[in-house]
Amino acid sequence: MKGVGAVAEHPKLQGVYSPEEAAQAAREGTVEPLTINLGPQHPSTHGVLRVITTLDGETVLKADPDIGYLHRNWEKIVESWHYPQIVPFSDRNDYLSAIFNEWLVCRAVEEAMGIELTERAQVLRTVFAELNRLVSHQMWFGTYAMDIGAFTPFLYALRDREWAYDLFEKATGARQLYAYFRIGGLRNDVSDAWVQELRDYLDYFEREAYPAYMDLLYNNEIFRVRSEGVGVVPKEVAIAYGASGPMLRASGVRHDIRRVERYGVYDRCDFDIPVGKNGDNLDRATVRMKEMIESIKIIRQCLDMLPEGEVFSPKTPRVIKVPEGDWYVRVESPRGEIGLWLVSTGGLQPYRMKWRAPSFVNLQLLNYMTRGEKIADLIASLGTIDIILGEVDR
Amino acid sequence: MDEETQGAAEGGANAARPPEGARPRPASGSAAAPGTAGAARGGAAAAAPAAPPALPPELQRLFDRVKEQLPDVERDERVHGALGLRVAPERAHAVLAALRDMDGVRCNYLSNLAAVDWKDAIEVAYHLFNLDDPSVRIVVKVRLPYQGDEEPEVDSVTDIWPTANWHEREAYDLLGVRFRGHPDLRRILLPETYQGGHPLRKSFVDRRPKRQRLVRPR
Repeated sequence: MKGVGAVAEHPKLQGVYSPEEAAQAAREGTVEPLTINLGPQHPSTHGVLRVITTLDGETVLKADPDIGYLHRNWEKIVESWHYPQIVPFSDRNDYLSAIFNEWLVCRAVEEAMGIELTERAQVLRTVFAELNRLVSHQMWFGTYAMDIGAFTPFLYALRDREWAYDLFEKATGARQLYAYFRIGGLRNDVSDAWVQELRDYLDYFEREAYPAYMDLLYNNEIFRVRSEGVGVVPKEVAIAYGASGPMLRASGVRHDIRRVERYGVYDRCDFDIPVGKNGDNLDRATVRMKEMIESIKIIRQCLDMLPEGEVFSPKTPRVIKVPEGDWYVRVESPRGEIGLWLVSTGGLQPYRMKWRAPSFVNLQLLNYMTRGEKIADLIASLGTIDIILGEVDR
Repeated sequence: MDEETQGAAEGGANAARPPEGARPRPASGSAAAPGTAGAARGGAAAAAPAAPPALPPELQRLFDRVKEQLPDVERDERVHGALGLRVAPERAHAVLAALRDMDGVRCNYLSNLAAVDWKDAIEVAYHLFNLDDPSVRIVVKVRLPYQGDEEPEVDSVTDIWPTANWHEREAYDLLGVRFRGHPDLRRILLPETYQGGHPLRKSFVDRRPKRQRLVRPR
């Protein structure tokens, strides 16, 4: 594998000013670099993110993300909490796909304690996770369209998201932050009527909403020209920078935690892992659009195999006590690989929990992606990283 | 992996563990005196009734391969579901670089870099994976002894995996580990002007003035 050398010598960086060269040029009077703040309250930054950009005219010389505006030190707070209390609090990290956070915490504790889930709980967890991935990608679709100047798709995306959120509300009682997974299973079961409505929703989305998305935005020539060849991340750079999820797959690496780790019922589902070729904004968009269809495929297969039974494992101990040791558990969220490093010295509370947030790691690539490109494309590239600031800042 | 977690879970549930002193704690002072560390741990293991859990065959093969080329790494028995390795701080950078390039290991992906405060030492953990071979999962741990408000040092791995850049800044910000050779080591999550120390240290005290209650206590 090539290391940093390959990163520094990448052809995209040839002929582009480095900040030092820019400063030199400024002294000579040939060019005047300008430092501009984007954010922290700008709507295109998807939250409270500040990007300090150094520009030569419209060309970006350097983009330095300044994060931490939403920092609440999740990791310190949970050190004094009991494990079941941590599950709802973890929802707040990635608030657009909260199920994956819950799943991660539950999985870590269950693996450490050796709790076996019931079959129905495993299948339903997979259903909820994939529905949440679908919803999260819809939101990405809407905001990305807005980032590159199209306002209408945002309304369509939010309209279709509402029905999915109603489904979540019917099953879990909440629209966004569910606290639905419990250590040992799920809080409550779903009804047959709910399952039927979910099938209706998937049919609707696949037949009506998705083709509309494709016509409205994806096959639009302006969209394609704005996205193609912008924000290119070559394969070796993506790996070296630890990118994950659609960021990594768009660069041509077929890597998905759903295939690498055994959790849920993914090993019994038949689904593809879409990958891109060039690692530009268009590839990242394509990967996400295809993942929506894959999620629908997975949910349908899960609903077909949904067995009867309990959703909460009767063998779950009343007191959740994790034995001494270290575990590093990963889950594939819509943004990539979330990891939880659980360090326990035995007892009711963790000694240390480290949250590996995919957005935090992917955001590092912003400077690489945007150097030498126009400032308007910086906003577009930021949109395809699909960051959630709640998770970046933790 | 399943048997191992199962065994550990039973061990924890039965609580049939030797008292504090005999427990193979994460090596009090092992990094301070690498020569005596093995003997101390061996003694502790001999006193404990249960032997350390054996590695699954896949990871055992991986360990043999690593041990053959890097004889100075030790196994870390706290780690479950992956191969845990323990390295002296001055060898950390060389060992991590070797793990990236070694045939049959090739950890090209640094998934996570995190630190934990054990009160007498800070332990930095590197979670390594190989994207082409899912069976390769390695956790490398480096123990850095410190006292009081000292900021222990270890070599930065940003030249091996550029992704370590922000992870190391976070570890510096929250735990006060200095990474030698880091291109831009400054606070990342907390404001750069923050003077209150490193919050994830166990000795951290929040010195901010108490906020007034908005709701009158009943």
